[in-house]
Amino acid sequence: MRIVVVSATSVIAVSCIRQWASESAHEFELVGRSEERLESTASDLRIRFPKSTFTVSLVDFDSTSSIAGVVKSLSAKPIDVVLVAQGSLTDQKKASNSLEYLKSELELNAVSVAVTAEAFAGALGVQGFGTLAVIGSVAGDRGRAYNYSYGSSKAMIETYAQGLQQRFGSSKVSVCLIKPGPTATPMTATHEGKMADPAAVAKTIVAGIKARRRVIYAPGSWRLIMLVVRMIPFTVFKRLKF
Amino acid sequence: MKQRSFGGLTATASSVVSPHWPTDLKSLGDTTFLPVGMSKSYGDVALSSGNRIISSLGLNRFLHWDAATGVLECEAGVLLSDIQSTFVGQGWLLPVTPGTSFITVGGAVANDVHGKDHHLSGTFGEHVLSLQLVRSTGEVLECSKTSNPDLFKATIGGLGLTGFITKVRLQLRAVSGPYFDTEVIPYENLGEFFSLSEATEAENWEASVSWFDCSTSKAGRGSFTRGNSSEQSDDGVKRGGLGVSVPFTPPISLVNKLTLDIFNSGYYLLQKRAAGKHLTHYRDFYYPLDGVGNWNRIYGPKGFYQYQSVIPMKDAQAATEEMLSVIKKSGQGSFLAVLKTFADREPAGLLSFARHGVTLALDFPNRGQKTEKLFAALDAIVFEAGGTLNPSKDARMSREMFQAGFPGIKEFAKYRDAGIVSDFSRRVID
Repeated sequence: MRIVVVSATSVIAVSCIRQWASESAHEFELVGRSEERLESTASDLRIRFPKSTFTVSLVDFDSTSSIAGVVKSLSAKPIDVVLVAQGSLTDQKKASNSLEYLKSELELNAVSVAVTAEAFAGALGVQGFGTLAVIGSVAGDRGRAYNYSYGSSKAMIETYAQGLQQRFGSSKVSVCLIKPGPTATPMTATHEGKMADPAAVAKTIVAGIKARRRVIYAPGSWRLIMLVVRMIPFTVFKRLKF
Repeated sequence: MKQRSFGGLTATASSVVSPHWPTDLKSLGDTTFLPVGMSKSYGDVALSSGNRIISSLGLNRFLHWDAATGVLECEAGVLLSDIQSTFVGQGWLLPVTPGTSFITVGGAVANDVHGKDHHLSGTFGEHVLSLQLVRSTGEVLECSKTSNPDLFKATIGGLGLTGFITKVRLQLRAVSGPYFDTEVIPYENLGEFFSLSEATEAENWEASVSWFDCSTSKAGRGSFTRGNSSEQSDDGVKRGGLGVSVPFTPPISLVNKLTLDIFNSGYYLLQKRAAGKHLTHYRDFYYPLDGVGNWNRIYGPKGFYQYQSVIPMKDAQAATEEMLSVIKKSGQGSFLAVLKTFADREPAGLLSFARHGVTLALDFPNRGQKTEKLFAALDAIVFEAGGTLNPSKDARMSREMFQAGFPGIKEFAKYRDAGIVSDFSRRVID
């Protein structure tokens, strides 16, 4: 397969690439903001998986023309899977105190993801097949005082993905929303509590994409947990501390 | 944040950070810290109460690989299991590996680990061509036998106390394939073990180890395993461990006099039945316990101690017999009693544990004072025979014992990073 991974240096993205490449040889297009990090990620992957190929492209998420340019050049050849993985775990306290910080976080977590997804959706629509997988979060399932800036960005991605799913409902293009629970990544390094192993999360994601699942919770147990969280009446929810 | 060592010791660190890129290491020296990998050390070398823990696990990339020479450059958080499974297909394995592959390269260097292959390859540090060290001052130093050679020697086996190891260049060993030609030989007493060891070294076997029974009335009997990298590549061989895991910590230790006797007798019979020659996959040969996840949980919430001594060859047999009789008398046998010889090689590091002699490793459930008393008796025998204990297994040896066993410690002080402290360093060094 030819697999495009946007924000390919993030831990979940790298774990997914390692999972895919360990299953069989693929052609990977790694897209990201930092050339140094992309090259370092690509060198590691080339050593681990000599049968797969890894090519690097730079993108500026703040620039729609940069995003459009990358999509245009990558879609010159057929694409089987696109994984959109950029995101930053917003510090809610900091966001409440600095509107500038809040705005830049929303731009990365919501706007840049929607723009990237839309651009690739267009390309997949033209070629008439392929899977667009976008990383949301369980945090998008219900707004919480603890992380509503991050959570609302992820909720927007969910609605955006739903729209794309209906748009491509009767075509061979599939759109998949991934909702990881808290995973051990640099974003969560300072957080207490049990974190999922990124390799296990990646295994669930890669299997879900293969099965063309519409929504993938990773680990799968979060589907049930979030069902319960969503059903808690607000009068009770507002008193909860989590 | 709470830390728990492999043996079950606990400590509360002020925070845990996990750098994922070399640039994240810039503010390393802001507060006192300790570099940590997989935390598989049994005692307190990877604990640091009240300080910042800097994990190497996010730095886990291969940087450069030369398939012609077998030289690998990688970040310090790469796991040995990753190296083995990536390069075995190209005919390369680590020249030295301990009994678990779930440790980091940085940890393997910092503890200058050894394994079954000491006769052939010595310790892990002997195969480190160079390494990069970031000091708490922010200084970045390349270390090898030719560049900063003294700091290089202090960092190998330096228990993480000389700086944060960021990357390592390693020489791998060419092998014909993933299999070993192995031989299992049961023995009836320690005398037989010593003659088997001698013969095995004389016959240039690449790897050897032995398990022995130290709890039943027949204590002293055991089984000797040795192996050479095999030309054969039969892929039909069963391998890959048991794939099971201990799901939770039982309220009390499952290891007691009764289970020990049953285990030791049963295991001896199994080994006796397995006597002879086999073709064994490297994972089963090197890492039999990696197939059982969280096996340390069987010792319950109080955890366990590993007592690993090394005794110079001259008095080794007498001292080992004496230790065995003390253990038998105490009624506190060990599940996994491992006996092997170390060859006569120049140690790679200033504080390397492995040295010419016989090493004995024993696991004991933590039974408080009773266990401490047994250790004091064992310490006396080891000390008398001029031996010492392995820091990466230790949780309780005295300052005197450590300082006597590691005379390089005075020289080591020159290379110590003042911004790094571990509970171990506070206990026996600082």
